[in-house]
Amino acid sequence: MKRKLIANSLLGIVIGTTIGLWMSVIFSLVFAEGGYAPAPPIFTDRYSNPLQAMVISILLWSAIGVLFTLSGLIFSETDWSITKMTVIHLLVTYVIFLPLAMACGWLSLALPTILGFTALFLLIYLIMWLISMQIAKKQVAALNQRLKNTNDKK
Amino acid sequence: MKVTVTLDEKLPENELILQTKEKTDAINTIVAYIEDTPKTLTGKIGKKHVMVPVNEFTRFYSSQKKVYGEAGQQEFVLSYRLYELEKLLPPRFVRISNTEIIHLDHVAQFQLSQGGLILIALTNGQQTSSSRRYLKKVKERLQ
Repeated sequence: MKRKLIANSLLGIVIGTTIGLWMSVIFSLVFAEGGYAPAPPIFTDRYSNPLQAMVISILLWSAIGVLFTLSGLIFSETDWSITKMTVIHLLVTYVIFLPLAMACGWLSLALPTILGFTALFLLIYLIMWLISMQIAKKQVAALNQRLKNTNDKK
Repeated sequence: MKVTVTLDEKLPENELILQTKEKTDAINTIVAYIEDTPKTLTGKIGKKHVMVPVNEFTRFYSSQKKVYGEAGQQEFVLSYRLYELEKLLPPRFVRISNTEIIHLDHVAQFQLSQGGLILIALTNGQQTSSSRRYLKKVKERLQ
C-alpha cells in the first residue's frame, strides 16, 4: 500500500506538471501575444521575477497532479459503494483543489466565480456517478446472464 | 494391494505419508488421485472434527483470524487460511472479497444495491457483497 502511495504520488507529479505545462502554453498562445506566462497576471504579479513564478507554478501543478492520482486510489483500492466513493472523492478533491486553483490564479475569490466553480464540480461528479452506476448495472446483468447460462446447462 | 492405515498425531493437518516397497505406476496413480482437489474438508464443529464433502459448502469466510465454512445449516471452523482454500478448492468456488469465498452453484442472483454495491444473493437466502477487484475473476469463473 505504501508503495502504491509513493508510485501514485510520483505519477501525479509527472502528469500534473506535464498537463500544467501544455495548458499554460496553450493559454499563452491565445492570450499572451507571443510571450509566455505560466498563469494569468493575477498570479504572476505576486512574484518579483519570472523564475520564481515558474517554480511556484510547477510546484502547484505537481500538487494538483498528486491530488488527483492519490484520490483516484479511492476508486481502485476500496470496496466502498459507488455512491460512497464518489461522494468522498468529491469532498476530498473539492476541499483541496479549490485553494490550489486560487493559488494558481485560475479562480478569484468573487462569489459568482466560486458558485460557478462549485456548480460545475457538482455537475461533473453527478455525471461520473451516473456513468459508474450504469456500468455496474451492465456488469451485474452480464453476471446474471452467465449464471443463467450455467444453470440452463445443468 | 494390502493397505494398512496407521495414525501419527505428529503429522501436520492434511499430510499423508505413503510407505511402499517400490514406486510403481499403480503407486503413482494413487498419489495423483490423492493430490487432486480434495473431495472433503475437515472442519471443527464444537469439539468434533468432521469431514464434510467439499460441494456441500456454500461459502467460506474469515473473521477474527479464524476461517469458517458454512455447509447447510452448520458452520465449521477450518484450519486452512483463505488463500490456501482458494488454491485447493475446485473452480466452482471463487473468491469474492478479501474475506470471503463463495460456491457459485449456490448463487441465486447478482444485484446492484441502491448505493452501488454489488450484492450476491445465495440460494439459502443469505446475501453478501463482492469486492470490485474480484469481480472480473468471478465473471471468468462463471463461464
